[in-house]
Amino acid sequence: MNHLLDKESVGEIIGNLVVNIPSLLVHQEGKVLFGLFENSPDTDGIVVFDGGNLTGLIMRNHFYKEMAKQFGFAVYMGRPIAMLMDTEPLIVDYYTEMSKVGIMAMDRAKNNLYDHVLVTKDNTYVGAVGISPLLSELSRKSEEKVGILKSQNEALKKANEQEIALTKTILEKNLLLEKKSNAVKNLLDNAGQGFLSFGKNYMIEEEYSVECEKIIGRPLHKVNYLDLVSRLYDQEKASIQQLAFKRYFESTSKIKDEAYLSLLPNECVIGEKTIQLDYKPIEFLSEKKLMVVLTDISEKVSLERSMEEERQNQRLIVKALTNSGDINNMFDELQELLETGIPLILDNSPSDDEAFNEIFRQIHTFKGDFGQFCLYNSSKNLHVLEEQLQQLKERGQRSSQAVTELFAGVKTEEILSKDKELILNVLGQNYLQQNEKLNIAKDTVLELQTVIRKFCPEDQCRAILPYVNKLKSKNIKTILHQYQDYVRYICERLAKPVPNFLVYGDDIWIEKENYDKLFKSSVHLFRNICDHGIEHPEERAELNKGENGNITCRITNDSNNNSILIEISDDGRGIDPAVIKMKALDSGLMAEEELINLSDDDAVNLIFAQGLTTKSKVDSLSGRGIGMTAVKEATEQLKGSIGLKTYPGIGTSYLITVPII
Amino acid sequence: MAKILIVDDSLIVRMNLRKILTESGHEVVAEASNGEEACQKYAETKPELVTLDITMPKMDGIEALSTICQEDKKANVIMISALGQEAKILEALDKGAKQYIIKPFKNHEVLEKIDTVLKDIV
Repeated sequence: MNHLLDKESVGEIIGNLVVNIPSLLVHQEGKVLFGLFENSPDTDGIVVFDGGNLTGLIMRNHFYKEMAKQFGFAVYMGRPIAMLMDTEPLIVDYYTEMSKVGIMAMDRAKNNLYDHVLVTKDNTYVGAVGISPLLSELSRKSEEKVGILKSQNEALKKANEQEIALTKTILEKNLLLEKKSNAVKNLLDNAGQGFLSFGKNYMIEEEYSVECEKIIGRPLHKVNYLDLVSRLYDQEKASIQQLAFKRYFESTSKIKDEAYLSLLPNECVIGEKTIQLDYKPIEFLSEKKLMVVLTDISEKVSLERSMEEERQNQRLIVKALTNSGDINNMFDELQELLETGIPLILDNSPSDDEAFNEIFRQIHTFKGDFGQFCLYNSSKNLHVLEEQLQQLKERGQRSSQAVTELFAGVKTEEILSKDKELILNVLGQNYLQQNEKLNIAKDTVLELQTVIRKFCPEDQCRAILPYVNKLKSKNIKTILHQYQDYVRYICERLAKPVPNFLVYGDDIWIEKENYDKLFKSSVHLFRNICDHGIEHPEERAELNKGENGNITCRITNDSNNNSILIEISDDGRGIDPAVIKMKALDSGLMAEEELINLSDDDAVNLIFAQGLTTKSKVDSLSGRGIGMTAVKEATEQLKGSIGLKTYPGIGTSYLITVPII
Repeated sequence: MAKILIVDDSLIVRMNLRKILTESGHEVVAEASNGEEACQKYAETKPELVTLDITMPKMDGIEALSTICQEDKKANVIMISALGQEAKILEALDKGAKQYIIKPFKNHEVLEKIDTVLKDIV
């Protein structure tokens, strides 16, 4: 606006419009004036002076008006012009504002509205200004002003438009941002993961994602996170969690933050959901906070569970395929026990207690055997039965009547139905009759052998018979592989992680029947490995060994000696000769003097001796001190041998050598 | 690369750690198999970092940690712990340990944790 004021102050005064107009003296006659107006048609008015003083103004239109009156011409032509002049014309100072002059001029009486305005400077006449140029100048000025205003207005409008545009942009940007943050929120809300955060007062902040509510099943605003999660764990875990949170918020070291956060439990169960919790450190306005990412992993967990079930079922089918005889036998034996065995035991035992214990033991054994053959459902059902017996025992109801009542409600078919169904669905209804067929097949082989021997010459017999024998022979690897499930079963009962089980080496086909005793007693060897050899997970961790143990079986065909080497090794704690010596002393196996002179190698081999057990407590798995002796006896009956090598902390190898029969 | 003191009552763990650390360029200045020995070796060798087992005979790791941190406020101690010792770990962190490692550990995990602790000093 300032530049407009400056422009106005220059050329805004009336002085700038001043022009010279003719002048006459007050005493001059009218005819002079008449001549002047007639000869100079552009002259609209004259000023009249009296001596040096300005005394009046005579305008052309006024003069001719007077002349036109009756006798006007005759009267004024010869008389002084003073009679015709306006003695009070508008006189203004040179520096008067043009617009002000305009207003003054327009304020005059109607008849001299258009008269010239006379201008003086320091009280001296300098000229006149016509109304027409004044008005046109004034209107030009105002136009200019309007123009400026207009352009100012334009500028303002433009600025305004820019501002509007800017505002719009900001608005749009805000919208976009909002949209974006909505999109992020949307993303977070629909990620299947919940996000929430809290500070050191543990109050969950408002901006948690919707999924959190879905996962946790309640609104979370202003909920105390610590209270929320503490209830999900046992007291010890909850107090560790609480301390770890506290320390995190107190800590000033990023490394320690990490350490504290990693100590927090990272999984919880809410209702039927399994939730994974990931903690991320965040800082907001230099205040330490924690972001929690909640992921519902129930599906994953249940998938894993059903996969495990599937794996179990697969194992069951494989077992069922390879051991149909044993499995069918077990089915029959259980049926026999439940239907006729129980009353028989009850009737023939010296006391109710003994009968009870025998039944308990048999059910327990069946439970184990079914587990070994991956018949997990049957095993579970037998476990329930075992629990029921245990309850009877705890209540002191071991009478034959109580037992009879319990077993009256037990149906063999109910115990076996699920596993049977699984097997039959996959292997067909003929499975349960397979045993018979196999027997026939076996007989056929024997029959065939007899026929060959009878009708073929001896040399041909020798060539053909081994092939026929192969029909009923089995690969040692296949036989040893069967212990894998047994090892799994034993370790699960001992609450140890299932060891890796590897069978490798030469393929040697043997007639299993010839080695029956060895393979049956080998159960004790594997049991020993699981029970005494493989350490508990904490112990293994302490030694930085993998959590799962390793059991390997290596088969070597020693064709020079026509024998088989079976080397069964574990990576467990090894056998301590000192412990064996002590046990040998305790069990009265050897005298102290003998033991002192016994070498470490000989000492560890005492585990094969009758009556030695390294376990102080006898349980159903091992501890009776008969297991390893049975293996030794079986090998010796085959004219083979058994030995062992052990390394403390590293493991033990059992080496069985038996001839090929 | 740093001068490191290994403290563990298990020979196997010590051998393991020594192998991991020396192979990646660290220098194992000493080994100790109990807390007392650890304090003594710490004073003698002034290592830049200690890996300290928690469960040990004579003097356990927590006690050794307190002694070491009392002697040297700037000691860098990483606890080595078995699973399920969270409460002990928290105690150790309170008493000045910088980090912890759970057995059985992975080689890269040991090296990463040592690196972060060493970087934090600089």
